[in-house]
Amino acid sequence: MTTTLLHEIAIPLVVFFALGAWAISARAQESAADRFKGGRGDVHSSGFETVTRLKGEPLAPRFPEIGPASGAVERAVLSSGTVIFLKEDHRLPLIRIEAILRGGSAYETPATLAVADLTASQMRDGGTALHAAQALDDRLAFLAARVSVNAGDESITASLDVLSKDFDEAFALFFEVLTRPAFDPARLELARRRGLFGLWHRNDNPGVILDREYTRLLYGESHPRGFMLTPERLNAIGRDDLVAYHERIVRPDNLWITAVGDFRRTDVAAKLEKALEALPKPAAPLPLPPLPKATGAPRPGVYVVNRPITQSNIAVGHPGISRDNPDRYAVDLMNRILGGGSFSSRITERVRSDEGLAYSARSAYPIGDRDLGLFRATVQTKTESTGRAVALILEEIEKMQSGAISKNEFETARESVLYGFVNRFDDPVQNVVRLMRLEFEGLPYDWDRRAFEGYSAVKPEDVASAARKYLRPSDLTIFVVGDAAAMGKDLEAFGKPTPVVIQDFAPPGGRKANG
Amino acid sequence: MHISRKTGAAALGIGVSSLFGSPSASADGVAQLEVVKHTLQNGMRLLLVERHDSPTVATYLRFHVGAVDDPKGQTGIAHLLEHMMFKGTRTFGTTSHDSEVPIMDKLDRLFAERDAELAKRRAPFTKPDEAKIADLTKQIEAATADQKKFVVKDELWQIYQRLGGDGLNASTGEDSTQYYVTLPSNQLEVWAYLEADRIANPVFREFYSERDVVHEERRLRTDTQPHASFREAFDATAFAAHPYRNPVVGWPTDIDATVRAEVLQFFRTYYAPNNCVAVLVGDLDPKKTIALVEKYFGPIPAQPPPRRAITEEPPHRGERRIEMTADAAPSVTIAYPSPAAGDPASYPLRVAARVLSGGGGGRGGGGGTGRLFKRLVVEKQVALGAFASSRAQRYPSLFTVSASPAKESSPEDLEAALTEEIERLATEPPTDEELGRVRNSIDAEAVRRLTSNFGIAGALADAEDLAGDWHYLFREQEAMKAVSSEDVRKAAAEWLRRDRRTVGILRSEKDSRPRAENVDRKSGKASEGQPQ
Repeated sequence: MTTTLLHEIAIPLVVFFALGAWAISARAQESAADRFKGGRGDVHSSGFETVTRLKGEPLAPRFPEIGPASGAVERAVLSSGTVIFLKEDHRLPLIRIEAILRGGSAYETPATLAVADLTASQMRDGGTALHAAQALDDRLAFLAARVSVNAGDESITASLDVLSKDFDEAFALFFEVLTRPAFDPARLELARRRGLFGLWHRNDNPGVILDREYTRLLYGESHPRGFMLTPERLNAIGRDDLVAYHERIVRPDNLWITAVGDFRRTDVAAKLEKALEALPKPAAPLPLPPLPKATGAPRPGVYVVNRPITQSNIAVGHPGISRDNPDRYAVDLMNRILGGGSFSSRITERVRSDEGLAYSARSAYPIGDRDLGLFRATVQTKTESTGRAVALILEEIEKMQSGAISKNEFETARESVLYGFVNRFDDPVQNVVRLMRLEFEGLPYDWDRRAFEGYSAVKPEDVASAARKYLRPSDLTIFVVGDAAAMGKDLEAFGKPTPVVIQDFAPPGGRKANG
Repeated sequence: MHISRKTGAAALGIGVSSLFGSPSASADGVAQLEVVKHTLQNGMRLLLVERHDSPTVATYLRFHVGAVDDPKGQTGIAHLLEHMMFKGTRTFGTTSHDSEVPIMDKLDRLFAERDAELAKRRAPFTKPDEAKIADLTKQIEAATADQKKFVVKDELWQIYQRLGGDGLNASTGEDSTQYYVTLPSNQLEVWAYLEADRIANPVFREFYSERDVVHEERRLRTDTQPHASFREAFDATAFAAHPYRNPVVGWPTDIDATVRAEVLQFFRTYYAPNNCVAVLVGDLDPKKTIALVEKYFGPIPAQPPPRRAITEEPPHRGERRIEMTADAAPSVTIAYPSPAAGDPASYPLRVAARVLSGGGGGRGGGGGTGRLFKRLVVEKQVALGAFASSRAQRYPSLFTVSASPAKESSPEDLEAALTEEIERLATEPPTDEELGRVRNSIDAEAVRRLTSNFGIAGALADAEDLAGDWHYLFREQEAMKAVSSEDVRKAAAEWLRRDRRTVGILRSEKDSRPRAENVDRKSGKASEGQPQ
């Protein structure tokens, strides 16, 4: 089914500003005459007017803070050099701890790839100096205590979640996992077999292929996000690698810890002090290689991974920005209008709501990454409508880049951020972890308050200029996973498609066919 | 707007004890929860919990209607209706509803004619009139453009965004349909106004493009996902007659053939206030909130309860099997009929599933403590991971065990090992240590469920809708904890029988073709994944 295009009447900017009332406290009182003017979404229903009357003012966000005040978070530095953040929360008989260390895949080279990930998984699964792997699992499960250790891009995190009545024992086990892992060889072999199984089946899901290959293409092979794990590499990792990695990064000056829950601050501070005394004091600062920096080089063109499926998975985008970009809040509001604001955004409206071409049609323009993020619009549509969906996305990106935004678009994007900001701080655990994260990342504690103020200060013209500057139609990569033969002609309209061959790993000798 | 496959008080035991005091730690370390219940004259039930930690309120509306209620030939209609509920009302999403009515009627006629003509393409003895199809398509485009002059796109969704709504969505399950959003606490009146209006006066504008959206959702979640396709085929085998055999999203041609009048009829049948539970949890004043809900939902009339024509699954006579080969990770699934939630036998079976599946353990699945992990993954090394669950649903459902074979084992080896472990429950019932672990995990989950307003709202709505009384949260927790080793043994012997089970094997194409075809020899490691 096709429908006519959206009426995109870009009203002159002068009129646009004359409508005024950008402050969220000032309600737009539209007269009947205004109703049939204006840009996208500026004409509202009668129900909208009732809502405008009933709607409350935006509530002030309760930003997490450090200090002695009640409700604040206590920060302390232990004698070992470890920074801790504590908050009592007696509403439920639960205690949650999260620890974070520098490390992770961003510090790896192709030769050390996956060591961080396996070390983290085997700290949790491989037992400790005092408890064999199975005994540790059994005891934690009996206490219904959740312990996890995960490697991310630029950090390793370890967490404990336990009923307060079992805290002492679980705390001891958690610190064994963190500081005295045994790396049971049998568990490592199981993890390796599971990893190989995952590699053999890494192409089962078209969405996973798209995400992986689009990311690799745009970051390139010299960036860790472009590295690829192979069975050979996985088989080459030994227990010694994990022991050495753990020894290197788990040290008191590379550790930040939060504890939130049903405890007394002084008790937990003392417990942490004691637990960390046992760790050797490092003589020199932790030597870590510098974090990678993406080149930001675009890869314009059309790329296709051929898969025999009835629905195409499509990404359209180019390298984006990092969190130190001063225009980031305007970029975020711009992207909400383009495709990041679900049903209020243009791409969703055209591709999904108007034409019924996709269930999911959206764009993302990350503004919080240390390194450059990736701008991308994504959609999944039946093979026959691949060309149409790509054309609509390109059209919307170009229109966004060169055209005007409407009053309603700006207000919707802005209000959804500012009215919704209060939701970001409703979980005490996340609030404390947030403060720790900010310190870990070298960002100020009032980063979120600054974000709120930053969003508040964005003017419509800032959004328009962010669109002009940060959307670059000539740089766009069009990446499709789908039935190449069936959609080939349609894609040629956007440039000659370059086939991307993805490697398909298989178990050596195949799996036993029959018992 | 998504599909949740299995809803209901599902796999986890939820529990809270006591009625008074906002969620807090009591002397015995058990969480407490104070719930205010108010029933409107029209039968709508309202549950309220005050929690003033954050100036927000989680809102949750749950209707007792799901995919089990889909009429024959209209599978997926409960889910399609859930999508249509976001399309506005007589006063939202439109500048002139009166002007839209004749256009929508015209579109219904045009689509009915075109659908009938298109159906001829698939039938061997009929010939479609392609010229007529082309003409109808033109007329459809023109009428759609006409209506568009009056449509205010996705206005309901936009309003929620502009209120600061968080987690805005809805989901359709087999047993229920729910609509939810968390809002700043001073926006509750707008919520009441919007939700009452869409229950009273919805308008299913843009119906036919949304029908296509749902079909794309099916392609995304099922048709391009071998595991989901396999699960769909498995359920259609394990249930011969009960509607749990049908996918929530609907079979493809049912999605394409459903018309607006049918969705409207389905809506009128099931979306009555006396078929709905509303739960609000957060920074609210119960008295004022009850007054608000009375003001907006009170005027909606009650309806006679619908006749539910749910076919019961007849007793299974003999084992059923299904096999599929796909470009997917291999797996083995074994399922046994299990009783409905609340049935006394449901509790020991749910405990049995936890004894098999275990808890704890790190990533990679399977749980490091269950019998399946210890025997099949560690000792015998026939599996890489294995899980068990016993679905607690409104109608009798399935006790399911599934596992991924290790490289060295065939699916048949794994099936034999799984069977042995399942049947061992009847000869070696759970030890005290195993039962202790299950009981502790039930208590801990009960507390953890209370960490968020949204979690509390969902749990209360589940219990109230399923059992007709939110106190079922406690009863369920107590019933699970009261299960003895002998209860598990008896339930396993009675329910986990080979002559009632369904076995499904998903084979990987990789295992049934020569290695040479598997590997892309053209690309060396260096250029792998890069454009050729």
